[in-house]
Amino acid sequence: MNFYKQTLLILKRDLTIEFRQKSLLYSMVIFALLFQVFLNIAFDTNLEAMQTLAPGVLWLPILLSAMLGFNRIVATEKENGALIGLLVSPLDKGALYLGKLLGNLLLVFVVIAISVPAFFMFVKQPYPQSLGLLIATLVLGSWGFVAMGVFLATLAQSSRITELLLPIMLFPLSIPLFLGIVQLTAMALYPSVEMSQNLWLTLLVSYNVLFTIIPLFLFDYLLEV
Amino acid sequence: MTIILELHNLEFAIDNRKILKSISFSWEKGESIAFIGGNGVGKSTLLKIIALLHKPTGGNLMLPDGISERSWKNNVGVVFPENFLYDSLTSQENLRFYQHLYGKADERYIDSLLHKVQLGRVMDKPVGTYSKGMKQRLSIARALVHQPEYLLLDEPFDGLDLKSKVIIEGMLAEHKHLGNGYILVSHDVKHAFELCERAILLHDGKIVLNKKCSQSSFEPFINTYRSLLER
Repeated sequence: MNFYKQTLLILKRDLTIEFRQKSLLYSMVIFALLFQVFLNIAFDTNLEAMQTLAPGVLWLPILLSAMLGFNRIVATEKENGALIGLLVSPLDKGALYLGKLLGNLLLVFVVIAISVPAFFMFVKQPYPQSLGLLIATLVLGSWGFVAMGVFLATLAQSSRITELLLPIMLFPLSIPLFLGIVQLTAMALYPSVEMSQNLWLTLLVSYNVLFTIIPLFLFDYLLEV
Repeated sequence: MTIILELHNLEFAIDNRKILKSISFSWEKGESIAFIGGNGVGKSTLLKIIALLHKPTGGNLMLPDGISERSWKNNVGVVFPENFLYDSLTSQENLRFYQHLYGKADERYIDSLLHKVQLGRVMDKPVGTYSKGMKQRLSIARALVHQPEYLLLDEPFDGLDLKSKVIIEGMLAEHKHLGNGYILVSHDVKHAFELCERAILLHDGKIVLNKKCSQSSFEPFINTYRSLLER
């Protein structure tokens, strides 16, 4: 069975389990919406200051709800020792990483599809001038965050403090990504913001390539920890 | 006879603590072997090394010429105390997943396996609703779903009722009848002698006895085992 088919097999398994239980997806969506409401209460969304706050208000619910999924990555593989079942099989461990990345990414896309319209509704922002840039930023930003999250959740899985270890490692390593997505989102929402769009897009793409390819090769060793 | 696996002075240590010491034996094609010994003597660790889950820290594990680690994994089915099953999936979905993992797709074989382990009537129910015995029977079916030549079984009869024991014994007999072999880890010497052709007694990480299973070898074997347990 080739790498591509193995990746799809892992993706299909994870989605079947998730859509049967539905608990994670519901939790992620509800959390993102509640967080939007909280932020809306916390900040005066009609102020001009919203021009600097808006990218953070848009992204925080998405990123934090994505984190809910990372602990589930570990839980699925720990269930009845399922990970051992995969390790004794001829499965390419890179396919396991990529399958889990895509599964989580699809859940985050569902959250984005609900959370982003809610953001425009609650915050009463004008619709983005550059919708293409906003969509590209949402896709690239969530890809990078999920790639890093899946990698670190697996790294932390053998620890007894997985839930604590994950955010401690994830947030510092996500700083370059967060800088990029905040700047690009600001540019997409407010075209008057003058910044080098290409520079930030290059940063985002480089981050994603790096943190997608490195785990593909390291995952085998990572699972032996 | 063709040797399918050879261990030569194999050692395994965790944090400088030796779990296995100087293990040497060979496994012939179609042979059934029992690893016997008390708790913590290294039986399960040895089985995990043979499943290529752990790498030995010393000595050699030799596969036949032309057999890569990947093709060995393709040809081995494993039953460990963890059943590797996904509780939210049905037994059919679990078997289909594991069969595809090994690059095979044979729905009829899945159905026949489920009927053999007497789970045909509940094949559409989530595995989370099954009893321990049902899960263990399904675990045997999972290990066999890619039609491996070799099985590695770590105490597959532990805590099972008579019905489940008889079904699993039947599956092992059929596997053996097809010319395939297995390694069985067990505490129960009598049962292991009934099911296997050779018994290896482990103590403190070392092989103490390596005997053909027969009526004449049973008494000396169990006496040695008892004396080791009393130490």
